[in-house]
Amino acid sequence: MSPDPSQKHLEKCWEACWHRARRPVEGVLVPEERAVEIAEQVIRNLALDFEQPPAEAEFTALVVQETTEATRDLVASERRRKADPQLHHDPEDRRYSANLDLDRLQRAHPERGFQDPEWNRLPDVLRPLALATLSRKGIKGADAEDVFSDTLVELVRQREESHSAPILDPTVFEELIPLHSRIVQFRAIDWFRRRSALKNQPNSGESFDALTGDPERPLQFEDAGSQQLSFEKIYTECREALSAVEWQLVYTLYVAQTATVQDLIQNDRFCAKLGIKPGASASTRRRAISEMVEDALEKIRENLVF
Amino acid sequence: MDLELPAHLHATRDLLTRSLVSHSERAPAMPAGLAADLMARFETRGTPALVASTRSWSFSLRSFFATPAFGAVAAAVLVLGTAIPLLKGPATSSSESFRGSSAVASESSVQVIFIGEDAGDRAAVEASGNFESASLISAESIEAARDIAGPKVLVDFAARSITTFDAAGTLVYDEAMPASSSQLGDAIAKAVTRL
Repeated sequence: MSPDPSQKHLEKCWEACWHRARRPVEGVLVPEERAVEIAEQVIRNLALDFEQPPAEAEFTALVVQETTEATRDLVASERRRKADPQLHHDPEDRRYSANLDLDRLQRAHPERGFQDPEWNRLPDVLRPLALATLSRKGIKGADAEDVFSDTLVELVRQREESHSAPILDPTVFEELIPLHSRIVQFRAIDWFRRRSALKNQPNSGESFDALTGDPERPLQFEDAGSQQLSFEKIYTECREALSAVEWQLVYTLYVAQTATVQDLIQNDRFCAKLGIKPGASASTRRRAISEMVEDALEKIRENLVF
Repeated sequence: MDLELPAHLHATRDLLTRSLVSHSERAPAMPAGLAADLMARFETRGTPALVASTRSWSFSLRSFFATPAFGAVAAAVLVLGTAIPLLKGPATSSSESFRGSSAVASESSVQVIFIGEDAGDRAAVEASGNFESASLISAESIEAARDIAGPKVLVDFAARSITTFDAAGTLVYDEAMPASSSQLGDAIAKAVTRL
């Protein structure tokens, strides 16, 4: 006999939660047993926030998000306590040699700003990654070095809306890598804009449109990270757009994959939730489910910018 | 058999499919007691598992304050609260709701019922400025006053008492009337706050 749907959901939720406790951020790796403890604690704690059985999609999104934050905080505090920035760093992460001390990078002098000597080591960590990204976009040599320098300045520049510098965002050092990568992406676009402004002058070379609209290189400005959105981020972005039933449908079919379309067609209780009359034919049920799935996916697509 | 989705939705579907677990490592089994505890916790509340969630009110409140919707609602309330009085024009003395030093706002659904009325005391209550004149009514007897529907404060001049009844008719407050007429307005206001 197949497991109860709630049991299957909990198992799927557990699996996602444990994975996130094990790897809260790319480059961080928490011991398996420790991940078990964290995941169990988070699930138990979050369940206390609900008086009724929570919707599967919502519960999973909350659990995974809270696990990520809890594990990240835990890793940061342990690194701080043991004065070991490399603690819980994934040994298979070969993107750079070693973590730096994030606390020192984030330490700002009231007048002189971010001046800790740890900053002298940061370019060596970030430069290879940044130059590789810029090279793929066609920015090389001295131009790439200029763009890279701009990105370091941007890390400590206070943002207008939050009055906080981007370097203060990460909780663990590994988060600095994707943060800097995004900054590199934006600065690369700025570089192309500046360049196209020059090139669009009379007697100049290729235009910005020519650079960005090249059908041979359609992904020139694509941020690969946007294609790996986690479920909790999708849920947060689109939560209001979908009804509870729509969330349950897409969550069951595509996210947790705990049931097939055929399973749902045969599930009288689920079909009743969709407003399908009892005794409706399988084709009618299938059509109703299909329409609702399309509507839900369309809403998600419209709410996500990718 | 999968659904035949339009081509432009394939990327969204694939995004969802990859969104939960991004690593191939096999997760250990769920701790033995965890699933049982969770199932037991929710089963005892007698609701099927696959329903939209009902969060605790405190959790919902925290979530609401954290959403952009809270800002929008707060802004809307602010705009309406400012605009409506302006559109209605300057308030006349008879329509003013908030006056005097008392912080109690009048509650239109709460009736203040005078029994065995004393003209001087009633005048003092009206002069306190804590209540809308429409909410101040009279009744011939305590029984007649009790029969008036809704939450109410009974000011019984014969018994020199102030009693508060909620919408269900339950006595929620009982206090002796102050000796001085000048304190009566505040005493009634205090009784209203118990609702």
